[in-house]
Amino acid sequence: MEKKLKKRTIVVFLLLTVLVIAAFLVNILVGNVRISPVDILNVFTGRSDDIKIINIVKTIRLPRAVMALVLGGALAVSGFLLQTYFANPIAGPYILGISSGAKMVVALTLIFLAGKTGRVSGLVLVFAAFVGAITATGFIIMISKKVRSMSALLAAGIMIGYICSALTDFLVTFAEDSDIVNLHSWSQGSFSGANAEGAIFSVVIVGVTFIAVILFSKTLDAFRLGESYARSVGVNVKLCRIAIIILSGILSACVTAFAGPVSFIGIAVPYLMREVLKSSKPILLIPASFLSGAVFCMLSDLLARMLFAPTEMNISAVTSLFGAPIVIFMIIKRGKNR
Amino acid sequence: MRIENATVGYRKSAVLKDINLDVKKGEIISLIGPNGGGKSTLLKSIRGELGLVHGCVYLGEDEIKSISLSELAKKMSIVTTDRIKPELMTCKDIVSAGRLPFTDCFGFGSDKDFAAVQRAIELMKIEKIADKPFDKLSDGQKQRTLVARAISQEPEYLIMDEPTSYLDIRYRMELMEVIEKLSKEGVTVIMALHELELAMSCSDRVLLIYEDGRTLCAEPKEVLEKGLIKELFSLSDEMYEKLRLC
Repeated sequence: MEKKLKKRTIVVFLLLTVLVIAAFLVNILVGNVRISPVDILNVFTGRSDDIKIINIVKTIRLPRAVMALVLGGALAVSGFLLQTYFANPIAGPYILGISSGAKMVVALTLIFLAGKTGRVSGLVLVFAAFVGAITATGFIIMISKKVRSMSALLAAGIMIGYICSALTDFLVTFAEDSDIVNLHSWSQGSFSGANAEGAIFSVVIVGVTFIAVILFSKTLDAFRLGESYARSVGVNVKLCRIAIIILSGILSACVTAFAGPVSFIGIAVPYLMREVLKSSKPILLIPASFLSGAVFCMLSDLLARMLFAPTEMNISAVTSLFGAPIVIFMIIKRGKNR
Repeated sequence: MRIENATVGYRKSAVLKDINLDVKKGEIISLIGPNGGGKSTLLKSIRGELGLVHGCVYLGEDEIKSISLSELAKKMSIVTTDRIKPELMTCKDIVSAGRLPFTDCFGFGSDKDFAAVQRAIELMKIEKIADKPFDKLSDGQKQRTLVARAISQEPEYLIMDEPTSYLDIRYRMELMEVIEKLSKEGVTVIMALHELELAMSCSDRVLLIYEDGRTLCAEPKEVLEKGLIKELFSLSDEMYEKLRLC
């Protein structure tokens, strides 16, 4: 039994790593402009002198692929953290309205700050999104203290999401005339605004947070048996709860700031990984969720931009299409077990 | 362990007053009393989860409040009445969770940890279900797993809230044997029990917890001789006679 699980874990991680690399390469290779693999290789080895190709690869495709990778992984990990916090496998940043809260504050920031100065740094956006995410999470936690029922909590989260989205839509509509490009597609979830600066910020912020989450995995492990038992093995429950919210808030804020709200990756991916690994051990589940979230997000982005090229779809359309059935399947399967 | 002038309860409303108890190493103490009388509340205070309204609990020389959670985890393990719903954890995973205070920073255990888990599994006789998913176990099997988890933590103090719930008569007796064995090894056991006969037969002392917030510590013999049970549970003469006949 133990050995079989170990083998399974190794195989799953190898497969995921291969998939991440493959999806990343495909994302760089495929696009509206046909560029041969040789030309792309030349760009990276510095032997290409075609400015147009260098531009497309280095300033458009590479940052976009990097962001889809890193932020997809971030979303999955963020979802996993929220599921641990609420002890509910259907919790996630999108469904609980946390992404929408972040989106609203980012939209406010963009409209009011960008209106004056014309440009807003990525870091400011992440911070704004973080404020929004934490505020929305605060509401959810307040509600979760009043109602014990998980389905009521989810309903409340969805409502908060709607309120924030509605307010954002108002803002975006009024701002449409001004010089804020991309705000509309961003508010629906899209990686079309990806740039080198955003990619670097994402890598750094998500990287640091991810390491923190990994170091935190033993505590999360203890949490699986509930608060009293967690405390009895030496976990400071209150501090730990705050840390979970902050870490997951940073991750989903980073995603929302750069790509808008992206649906379902946060729920579907950790669930799939639990089933594939046959384990809920955080030290395995966190990296596995990150890797498969990255794959899921990169492939979804590829579909979003290529399916009806040159028109781009919003990425949430794709992630919902694939993610929502997985979640429905999960709910049915869990219902059967009860 | 020493409990001094302790008043336990929530916020300002005291549930139990003026508890004084000096517990020797390796002693088995059972808390008995009517439902809702404050047994669980007292246990929560003893394990440091609930602050005292008044008074102190000492472990050795140190007040329990001043001991860090990670230090406390190496000394004390618990069984609660909470129903846990872990996902995709086997029975053995649950038992291994008792080793978390001792494992490295990623939660991976050493040989010593595996040995402790193995011993706890053998003591609680759950070898056969060790690889089964926890949520597929019966209530009794879950309960034995949770006790095994607490044992694997190799505590000095074992604090249990109704450890016999869901267990049939044989497992109850076996659990008491395990508890007696641990106590001979120097583990101090404090537990709330519903089964009076078990409490009387295996405890060194029992702490009677009255509905009006009084407590009384006595040896089992004394409790039986003085008929303290009758008053403790406010039984009628007729009921008490029936009980004595059993």
